[in-house]
Amino acid sequence: MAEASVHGAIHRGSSGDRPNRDKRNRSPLPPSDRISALPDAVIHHIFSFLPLKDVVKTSVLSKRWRSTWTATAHLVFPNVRPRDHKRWPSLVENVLLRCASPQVKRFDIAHFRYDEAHHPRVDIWLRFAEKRRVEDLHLGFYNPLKVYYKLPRSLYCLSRLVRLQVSQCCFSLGTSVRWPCLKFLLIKFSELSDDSLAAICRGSPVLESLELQSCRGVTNIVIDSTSVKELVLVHPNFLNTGKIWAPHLLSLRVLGMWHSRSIFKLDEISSLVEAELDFGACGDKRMLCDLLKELFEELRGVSTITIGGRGRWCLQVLFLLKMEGVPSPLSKCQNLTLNAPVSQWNFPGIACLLRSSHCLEKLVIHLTGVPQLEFQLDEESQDHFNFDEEEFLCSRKGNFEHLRRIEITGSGADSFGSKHLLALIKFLLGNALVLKKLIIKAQLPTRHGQKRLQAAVLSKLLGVSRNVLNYQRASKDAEVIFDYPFKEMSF
Amino acid sequence: MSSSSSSSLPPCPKKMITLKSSDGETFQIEETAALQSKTLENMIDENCASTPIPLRSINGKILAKVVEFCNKHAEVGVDAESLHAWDAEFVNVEYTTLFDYILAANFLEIPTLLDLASGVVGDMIKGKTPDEIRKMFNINDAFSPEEEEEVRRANQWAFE
Repeated sequence: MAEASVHGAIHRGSSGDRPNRDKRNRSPLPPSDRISALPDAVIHHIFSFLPLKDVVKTSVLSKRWRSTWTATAHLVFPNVRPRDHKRWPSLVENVLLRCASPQVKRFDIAHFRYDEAHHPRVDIWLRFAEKRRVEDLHLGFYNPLKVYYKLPRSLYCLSRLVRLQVSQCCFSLGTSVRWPCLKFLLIKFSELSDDSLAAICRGSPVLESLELQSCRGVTNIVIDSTSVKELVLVHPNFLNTGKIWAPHLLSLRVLGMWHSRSIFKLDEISSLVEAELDFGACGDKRMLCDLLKELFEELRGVSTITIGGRGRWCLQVLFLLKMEGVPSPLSKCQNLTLNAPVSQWNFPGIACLLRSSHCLEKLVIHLTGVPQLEFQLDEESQDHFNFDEEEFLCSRKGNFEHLRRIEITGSGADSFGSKHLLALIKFLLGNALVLKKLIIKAQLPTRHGQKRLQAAVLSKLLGVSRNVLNYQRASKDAEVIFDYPFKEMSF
Repeated sequence: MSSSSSSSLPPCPKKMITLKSSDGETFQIEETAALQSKTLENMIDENCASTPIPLRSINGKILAKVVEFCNKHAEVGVDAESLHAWDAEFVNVEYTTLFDYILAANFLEIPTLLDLASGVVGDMIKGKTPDEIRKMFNINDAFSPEEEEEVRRANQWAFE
């Protein structure tokens, strides 16, 4: 953080200041109070980057600041500490009482334990926000006893609303939705129905991004709106097998934990260009294998795919399916990102995936997570994962006619040391005919006083580099770049 | 340095406009870069940008940096990560210079610069005690202890 000096007014800026001939040689003047001289509009803009507590605290700075905060248009209420839970509503009311701003752009309650008794008070808070033409509304309620706040009817016609995030709320639409400016909607832990969802999409003509997290009551997701570009699904609670029908959707992200009994089918996603599979799975293994098989078939036309994080199991299942004789579905993927370590368990799945991606142009691998098997497997299945990595790849000639760029990033040196990773790099370099760049980037924790440790890391990384540089390259233009935090090295 | 280009001509490559600082320095900036400023955009739209535009509230030192910022952000093919690093370096300055950036960005209506510099000032304030903030920014005109106590009491929760 910039260290401000008491004599800031006469200090010179450090970045590229040019000599200033006339004014600044008037040595020690009393330091001026420039922040207080800023116009209110500018101060309120700075306030918009601060939590409300810091904003209100400015009231004691000086007389100039006493009431400045009351015109803030950004009410971002602090998280409630459990011991403050009882008096928290009165804190909100204290602020609302003093707030003199004709417009409140942002009204944000991120984390509040909502009880039935709060209902009338929350209604009043919302009326306050409505009257002040709120643009960004966040109602982050929670209650382990599944008490839902029933959203008032007036909320369904907020004409200025651009972002809405609600959690533990109940949508019961007896009225039509009119959110003409709404672009971003996140619904968490709430009660919803297919009808409410359809009404929301109908009433939000410019909605771009919809995220549903652990919502109950949804059986199918039908989005016929042409404006919705992105759908994010986290920890779903589909009643049965949910269907997603969204012919205009461009991006789908599947996150969280999924159970085999609340899985989904992609019914119609023909416009999709981007998909991210970062979801863990539990439940019946057979069903999950089938789910994944179908999923990959549906995603075959998608040009940008990210797999990994919690979705590492997908890589392992891909290989198991292959072992059962199910061919990996061909993919038109051009940009593939994998967030997983290249270990014994992920390696064969990655190989399958690469083999079926004939159009691949860019491959990015972030070496993150623990190298482990994500499934309970019988011995026979586990045996499949015992192989010699080089032989394994030799039997699979790669077909990389378009692969131009490979980026592999990891933190620490150990993630690069895996023999599976080296075998994969060797394979890619030896088969990618038009490869231009292979970038190996190591990110290291930058702590002070660890020079000796860094030396050890460096020597390990240099070992990796030595190996990689010895591999044959199928493309004569291929450049291998080692981006290590010590110094960029290019060969 | 020709400022004679007529705005009624068909678009020619690299159309430049000229800005003049409060201390009389002039700066050339490409029109495409200048469009990040809503104020300049309006002037361009209204054909008021064919002669040097006087900016009486911005001195040459700051205007040079603002032009540099707009040029950088108008560059094509800069990836988000390196732009982010460039921005971080750009605002790694004395806080008084940050205020100059904020005022210039506010006047010229350059939202990216306004947000960038305001965010840094916000980070400087975040989590600090009023005393620390007063000291950091030389805020005078403090309350008497009794007055301060009264103000604190009105919003007690914020000081706990």
